[in-house]
Amino acid sequence: MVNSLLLISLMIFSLSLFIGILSNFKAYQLKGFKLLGDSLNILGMLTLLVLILYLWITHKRPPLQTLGDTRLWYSLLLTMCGVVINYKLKISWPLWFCQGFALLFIMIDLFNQSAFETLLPPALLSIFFIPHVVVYIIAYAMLTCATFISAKNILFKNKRNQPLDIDEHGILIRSVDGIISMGYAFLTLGLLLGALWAKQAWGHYWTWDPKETWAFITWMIYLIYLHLRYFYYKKTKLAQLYLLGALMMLFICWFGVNYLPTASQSVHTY
Amino acid sequence: MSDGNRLKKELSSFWNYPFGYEQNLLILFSLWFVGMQLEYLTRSVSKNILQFPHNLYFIMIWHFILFIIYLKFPKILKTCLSKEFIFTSMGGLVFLLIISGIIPQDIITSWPYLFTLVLLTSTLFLTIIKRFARFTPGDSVFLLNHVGLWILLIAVTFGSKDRLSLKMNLLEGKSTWEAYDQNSKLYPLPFAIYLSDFILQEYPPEIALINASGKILIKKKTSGQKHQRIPLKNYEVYINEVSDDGVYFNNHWKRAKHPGSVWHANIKVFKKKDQQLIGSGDISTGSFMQTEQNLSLENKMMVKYLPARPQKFSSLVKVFTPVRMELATSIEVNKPLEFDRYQIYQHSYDNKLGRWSELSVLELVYDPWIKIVYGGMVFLLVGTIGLVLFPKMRRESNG
Repeated sequence: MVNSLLLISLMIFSLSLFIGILSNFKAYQLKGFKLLGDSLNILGMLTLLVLILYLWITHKRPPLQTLGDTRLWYSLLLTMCGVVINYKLKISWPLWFCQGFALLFIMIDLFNQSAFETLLPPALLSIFFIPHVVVYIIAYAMLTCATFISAKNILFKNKRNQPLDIDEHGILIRSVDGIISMGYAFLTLGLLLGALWAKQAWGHYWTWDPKETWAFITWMIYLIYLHLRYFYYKKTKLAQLYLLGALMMLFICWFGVNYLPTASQSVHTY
Repeated sequence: MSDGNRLKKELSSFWNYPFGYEQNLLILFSLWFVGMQLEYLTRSVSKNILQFPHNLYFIMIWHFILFIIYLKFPKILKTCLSKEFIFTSMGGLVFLLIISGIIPQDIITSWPYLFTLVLLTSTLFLTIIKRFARFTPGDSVFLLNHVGLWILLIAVTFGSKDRLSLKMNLLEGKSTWEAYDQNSKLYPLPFAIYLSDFILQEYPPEIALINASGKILIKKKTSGQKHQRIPLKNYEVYINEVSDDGVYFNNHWKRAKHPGSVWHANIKVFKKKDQQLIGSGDISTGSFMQTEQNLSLENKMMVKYLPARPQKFSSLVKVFTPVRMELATSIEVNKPLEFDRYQIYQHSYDNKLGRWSELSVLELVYDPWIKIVYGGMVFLLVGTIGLVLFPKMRRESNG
């Protein structure tokens, strides 16, 4: 049952991603084609929801305890996040990105079903666990999306041999800034939730664990970005390059930390 | 004009207001240099500045000076509020953090870090009072964010040595009045804690298939209930009987609430393909009293229970004070107890004895700055939400 639901959601999301990307090309801009992609996405989300409910019923507890469970929640919330951005800002990029990530996570769950069998130690059995992780994943997703959108602007501008007109450019920059500040808000929320949880489980809200240090570094780096936009608003090229650098730091914080000399002291190894 | 005079003139023009990035970076690097020297000279001296009451004196004098700068020294104020100063101090702090994030070390209490933090927090504070002076409701989000960060940076750094963390060893059926710190220094407490019971709840052990060289091929969770069927690769395990209090005695498995009793199951193993029975017998976890038992299958494969892992551990305690107060409660991981001025955490137990441990170690934390830190968090949280709801206006004339 778990196996087949995972497979179904995998197929639906792939199809939705495929149609979504196709519908962006001129030849396929038929009426309803994009709608089909979006509806399939919703269907994929529903499948994940069914799977979560199924686990809830069979395990007789909310599926909030294993790494496999959290990957399901990531996938569901990521795509939801993509839908919101798609709907609010009318950019389809982020949704594809989120779907890509959801596909990756579902795939990991599919091939590694013993992940649902992982037993969490008592310190992780906290009401803060899921919000902390989910909020961070949303933040990472948004910041990465925004960086890709702005990088696309640098990298592909000359290909079409015609610069974007000023209006389009301005809208793009404003949406990048909008997504970054939303991502920054989620980053703050994740940081604070983590601190509150740490206080409750380990007795101190901040222990300068390597992951915490890097989370703070990442947070500061995006804080600098916000100030960069405030003080040097016209320097868009600088901002775009800065975002690429910032993303590297984000990746170090996300999974690079595990390979640094400081990793051995961390409680965040997984 | 002589060379000396020209040099003097160049120098004085270098330090002319307004400062650019060169001047600000030079200030930062000089401070780091001085900080490193200080660090080297006073290596063994603990930093009083991070401890009560010196930290309070320092914070008060420091902010008093900032206030004087705000009122009387417009040129310095302008320098401290310039974007060059802000980016230099932020960048400096991030640079030091990155170093400490790569190479394990205690940079957070080092002088270069403290100097950089003071620079950053100074400009933060000056920004805040400047905005306060011409406050409009539109500034609320700005102020919430900046005040929140200012509170947090100060409280987290300058309150760090005021936090007291003590451990307390409790034995079942005994009360304890004292706790010890990381240097094993004893502290008498204003209350005593009596440990009625230490309870460790385990997850039902995972069941695993291992090969001849002892490698785990697959492991599965169990429910801890009988009649469960668990697929393990090409086999299926049927759990006939299971208990968490098995005792192996006289070649028989019995149930007894006896120290050192283990998880025991009587199982049957079938081939998945044709449901052919290929083995049956007992498996069990191990303890300080009993060795574990595995069931051998064909090709030197084995089915075994992995050591049971703790799901939850808690201490049932009674807390007494000299004035006839008595409080019976339980303390567990993620559910600390607030008592007197301490937060009391379940820390650990005797790992060798596991659920039969009669020792429970509690951690007592006293952090006088915690309420201030929470305050800062609330400011920052509300401010951040504000940032999303009311995106801020930009200083378009610049850059």
